[in-house]
Amino acid sequence: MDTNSQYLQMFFDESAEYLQILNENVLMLEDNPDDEEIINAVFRAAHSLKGMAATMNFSKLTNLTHKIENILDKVRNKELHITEDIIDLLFAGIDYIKTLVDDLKKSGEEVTDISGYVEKLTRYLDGSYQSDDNNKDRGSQNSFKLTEKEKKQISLKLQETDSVYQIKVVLKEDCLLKNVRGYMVLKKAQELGFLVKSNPPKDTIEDEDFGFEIYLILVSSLNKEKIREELLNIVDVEEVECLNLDFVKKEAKDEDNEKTVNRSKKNLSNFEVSPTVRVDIKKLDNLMNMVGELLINKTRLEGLKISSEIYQDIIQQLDRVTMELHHIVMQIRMVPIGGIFNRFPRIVRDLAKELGKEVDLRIEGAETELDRSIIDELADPLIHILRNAVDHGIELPGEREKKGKNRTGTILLKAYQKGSEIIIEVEDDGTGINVDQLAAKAVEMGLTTHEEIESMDEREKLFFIFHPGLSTSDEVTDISGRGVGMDVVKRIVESLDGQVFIESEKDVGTRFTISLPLTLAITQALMVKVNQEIFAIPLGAISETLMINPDDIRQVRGQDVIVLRDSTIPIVEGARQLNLEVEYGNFKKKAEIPVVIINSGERQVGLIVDELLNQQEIVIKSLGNYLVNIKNISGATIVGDGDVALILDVRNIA
Amino acid sequence: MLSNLNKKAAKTVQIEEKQFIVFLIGEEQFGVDVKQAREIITTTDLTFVPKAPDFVKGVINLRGEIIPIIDLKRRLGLNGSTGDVENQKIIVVELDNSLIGMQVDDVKEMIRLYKKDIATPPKIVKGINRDYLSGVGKLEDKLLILLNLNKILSEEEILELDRMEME
Repeated sequence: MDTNSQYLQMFFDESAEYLQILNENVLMLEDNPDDEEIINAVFRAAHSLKGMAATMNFSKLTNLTHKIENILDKVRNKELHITEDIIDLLFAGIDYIKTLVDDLKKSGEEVTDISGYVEKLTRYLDGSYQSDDNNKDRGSQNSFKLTEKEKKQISLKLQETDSVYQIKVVLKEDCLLKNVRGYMVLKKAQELGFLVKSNPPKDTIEDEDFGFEIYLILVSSLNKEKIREELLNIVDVEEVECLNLDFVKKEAKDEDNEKTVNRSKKNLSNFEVSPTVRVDIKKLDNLMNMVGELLINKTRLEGLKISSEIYQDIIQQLDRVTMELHHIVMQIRMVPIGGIFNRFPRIVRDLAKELGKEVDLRIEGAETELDRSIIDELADPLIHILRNAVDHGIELPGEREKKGKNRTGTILLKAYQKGSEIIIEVEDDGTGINVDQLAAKAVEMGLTTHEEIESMDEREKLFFIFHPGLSTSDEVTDISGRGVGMDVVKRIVESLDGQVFIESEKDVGTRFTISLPLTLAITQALMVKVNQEIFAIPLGAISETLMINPDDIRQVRGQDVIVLRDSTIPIVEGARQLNLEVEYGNFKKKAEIPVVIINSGERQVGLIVDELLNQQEIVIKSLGNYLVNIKNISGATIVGDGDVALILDVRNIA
Repeated sequence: MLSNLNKKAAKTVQIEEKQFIVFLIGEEQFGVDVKQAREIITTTDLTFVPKAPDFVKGVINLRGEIIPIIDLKRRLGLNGSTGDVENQKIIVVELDNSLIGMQVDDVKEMIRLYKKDIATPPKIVKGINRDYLSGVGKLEDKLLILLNLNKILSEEEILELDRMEME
């Protein structure tokens, strides 16, 4: 699905919702014309529609909703009182909105002519409007517009040989019992073919509440002359004019074709609307929980290890079904990240303008899908990073030219999937972060000492930017008005089980990389044993597992390391990391030591465990409010036998 | 009228009477409002949580939900011998929409107390800070210490304790 059609989908979904609101509230308004709350609700809905239409560049719809909004504004300001006329006007307007939206769905263009109605609204706004639409309509040649429903009826009735006629029947001015005559005209017309519509309508005719002219829309296989003749036979009919409305026929036919040859339509319009249902996210969460329960019980069943063919068969089936179910539920919760990206170009543009900078924001991978609950949280951190990039990263045009760069700075916002992770990168080609200045500030704040700084590498120094208070100190511009500092960015991302990295080089640029799990609820994990307890390590964090001999362990500056394919990897003992009360260093007595190589940022760390168990799907559960912020533990899961296993938060290990 | 009389009587009882679960920590009797308790379970296998505050014994799986277990004796800073491990129970209470289990040495009974028999606690009762108490119930032969679970098990309180321990 391309981006444009994705916005269209949103537009259609939401306009349907607003139309519903409009219809309901105008209906209520009819009964409670003075209820300000209802008027406001209608106003808001119209306003939102206008905004949406304007964003999508649908000029007719924008114009129409704008006019309607103006009327409502007058009503709101008590300049206009709600009368039946206004209610009718509003309903007519709602119908036109609907028609236009339908046009857009069908062909992508606003086909329907709304100028008449807009004119009427304008007259109402000028105060010169009188309820004369009926009279006017009677006088005009194109006396009535056909609604969608009527067009449909025509298309249903229309045979190849049929024609659509607009007939004007004029009664004699001295005619008695006008209602009877009128009724006879209608009756006759019905005999001659299919009477689509009459103006005035049947009820009005029966009430004798009309002039001397009756307009009819008739579908008939007879020719004009025949129809005219038949109608003139009625007593008191003075004149009959018959007009062939071939355009209606064509329209109706077109519609008919569209229905029957639905497939071919696809080529014409660039968008097909698939039916959607909006669901409360909580229900999806519940569904996810239930799937989780199912998974737990499936794992328990598997643990039974009954040696029976039927059992094996059932387990396999169950495995497939639960996997599929899990997959589907995840899919449902996934939304394209473009949903938040689309706000960014505007933000960047405004900010760049304000600061006198030239910035080009390029977005890649907006279609990358992420769990809904993660996406909602991501907007603020990303906005903050982007603002930082514009504010502190990209230089002023003159400065850039001096450095031999393009006047216009580029910010690249990129999202893509990498294994079971989603990576979001924000990269600018600006001035880069001054690492030494950052480190100096950290010392100034007492976060660290000069000596420590000496032994730090660039990466470690850069990490100071995530320290609260430090990042915000020279960023009081408060362009965001949110007060989100880089420390908050880190915190939010970590609360989503993700990680942030920075790379920066002077005058080349800065790159922020955020990695996030696809979903928060269920993940693949490696189960390990440390000191008789079972722990789960999310697979996403593991690069590999291996067995080492005590001889493989070397010492570098007092730190145990191993050499794996030419790279030196520090190893740490699991029990010690977890502060377990056991004697440390026992692993060195073993012949074979299981090690899990963990990706911690750009570095790798080997975690020594007692035993590698198995790989399985785990349902991540929170430890509850009570045990938040337990170091190195990010949650818990329930394993096959009903026991609780803790999930290791390996990101900050070592 | 008789019916009115009954109603009135029922009402007064409702206002004046509260039910408490009586449990033991060491030799001492404590009471907790029955409305705060969800269930009482026997001690099951629990999973130790490294680096958690020392009064958190671990977590258990209660029908699919993971709940922390608090060693109430440790939490209240009480000494004294542990009773028979066989008799140990976990009282599951609900606080701020989350479940917490309190491990106690034994659960004795349920009692009703009239409001008039509940006194405000003195500053320190048997080594327990008054903040943790909601009152003292006068029984025929001895005193029943009524606990203020909101205070004892609140997050802020625990964070505070955590900080103190770190320093």
